[in-house]
Amino acid sequence: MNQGEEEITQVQQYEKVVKYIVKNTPFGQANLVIKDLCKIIGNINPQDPIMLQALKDHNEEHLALFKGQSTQILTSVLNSQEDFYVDQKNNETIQVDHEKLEIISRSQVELPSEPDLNQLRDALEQQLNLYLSQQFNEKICGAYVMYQGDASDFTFYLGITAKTINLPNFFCGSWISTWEFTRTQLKGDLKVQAHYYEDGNVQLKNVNTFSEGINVDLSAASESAKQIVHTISKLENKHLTGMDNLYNSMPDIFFKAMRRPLPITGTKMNWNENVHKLVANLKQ
Amino acid sequence: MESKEKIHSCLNILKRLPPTQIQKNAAALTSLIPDYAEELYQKIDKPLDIGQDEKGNQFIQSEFNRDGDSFRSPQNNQYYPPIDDAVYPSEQLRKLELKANAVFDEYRRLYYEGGLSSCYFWDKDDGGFATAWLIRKNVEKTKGIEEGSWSSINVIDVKTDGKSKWTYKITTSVVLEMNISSNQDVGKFNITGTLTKQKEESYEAPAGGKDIELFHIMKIGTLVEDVESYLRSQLDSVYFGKTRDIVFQTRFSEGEKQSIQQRQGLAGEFKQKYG
Repeated sequence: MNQGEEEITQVQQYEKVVKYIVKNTPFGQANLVIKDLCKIIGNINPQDPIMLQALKDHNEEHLALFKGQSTQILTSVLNSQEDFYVDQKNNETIQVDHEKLEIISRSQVELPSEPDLNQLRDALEQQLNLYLSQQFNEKICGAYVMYQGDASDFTFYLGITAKTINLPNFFCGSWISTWEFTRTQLKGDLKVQAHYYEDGNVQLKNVNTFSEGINVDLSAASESAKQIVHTISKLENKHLTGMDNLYNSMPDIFFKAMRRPLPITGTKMNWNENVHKLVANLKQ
Repeated sequence: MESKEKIHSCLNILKRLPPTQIQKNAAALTSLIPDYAEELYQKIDKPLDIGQDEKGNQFIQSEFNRDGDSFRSPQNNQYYPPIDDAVYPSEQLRKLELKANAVFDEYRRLYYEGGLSSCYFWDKDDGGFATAWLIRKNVEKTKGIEEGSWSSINVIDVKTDGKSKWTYKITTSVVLEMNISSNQDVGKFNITGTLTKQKEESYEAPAGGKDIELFHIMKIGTLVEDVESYLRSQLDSVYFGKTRDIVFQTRFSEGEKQSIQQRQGLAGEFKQKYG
């Protein structure tokens, strides 16, 4: 076996590890992690197919936002094809640069289209953008709406996300919620993450699921969209309030149970006294 | 130099991965650099495990009392499971170790009112010694907390100038885990992480080397108490304050964003008017 073949085999062994590590990296830090992985493995760079695939999976799981000249797109497993992403609304396929989070090119394509569902989709998009502007960090936030099926049997997919990335101050956070609804049922999944790593590594990970009955009237698209987004925002706000309550109660029930700030005597430990007393006891 | 760089990159990555999965994260990274696995494991802070001897007496299992897959008990100096040809502290150091454990146990009682403590000592080539003072405390399942634990890892490097000056360098890491697995309002909620601090102090030992062991224990103990108390106060504002802030600046509560924008708008107007 020559040198080249040996290296290929080794790197394939590393693939599983790379996938695991990049998948579990907080959003905003994947490029840095990949650089470090290349240093560790050696003879590999961030443009290697293994690294790029891991980065692609990472971006899709975190609903990464890609910007172009006049448009932007959220990527997820739902609109992902091998080499491009599908933009249902604009009838386009979009190619992206996963490292730079930029749109490289767009092409027109013919996609199946249902006029009734298009109306609801556009109304939902409008409501979601309003919702984003009211309650999310606008530096990095976005939403998507897609559907499958036809007027008699449909499923809509919604994604909402916002990110905070502040590497100079050692913190990142992300809010990722994905929803789907049929005529009568709305279901959602929420992932909240926060990472602070000055002098350490502290991470919050919070997941929740939602389910609520609804009634979608396709003939009243604007009204239906308002109701659906209103339901989503109500559920998300309730979750946030729950987090706030938890944070307020935690110091009392958690920290107090861990370690006292001072002994019950109110003074620090008297080392001199204790050292002499306890060591004398030992001798006996 | 190459190994140092690779370990540095591993530590960089570990700082970014979820600390709840520290074992898995460490295993993944050491599979990439198997030759440096030992060295990497010694630099990793993770929640402390608890082992016991044949009578059921518990002690903390750590890198500092480990040889192969066995761990040394600070009570009877034996390894569990038993092994031949293991590493032990020198006789002198073992005497110091016994005394330190007795005194540190009192510290644990005063500040933690529960939990488990262990001290381990080991000799160094430069004539000094090093020691690890460890504490593990679990939170009882209460008010919705499924699991909660605190692990203190205090590592102190002790050097002398050969005469009467002793220098103590402490590195303390506190690893906290808090897990709520099924809260009605928030679902599954977990905050886990490590904070680290270092400090160095030098002291003149009493003349004649009298009671030098008690001197060491007092100086080390005081350092441990200071740094742990400092970290405990930080944990409140970092674990809870910081992670909370990050979430609430990503997703604002109702009305919050408008009131921030209003205040910024008013501040802008004020600036324009009054310069």
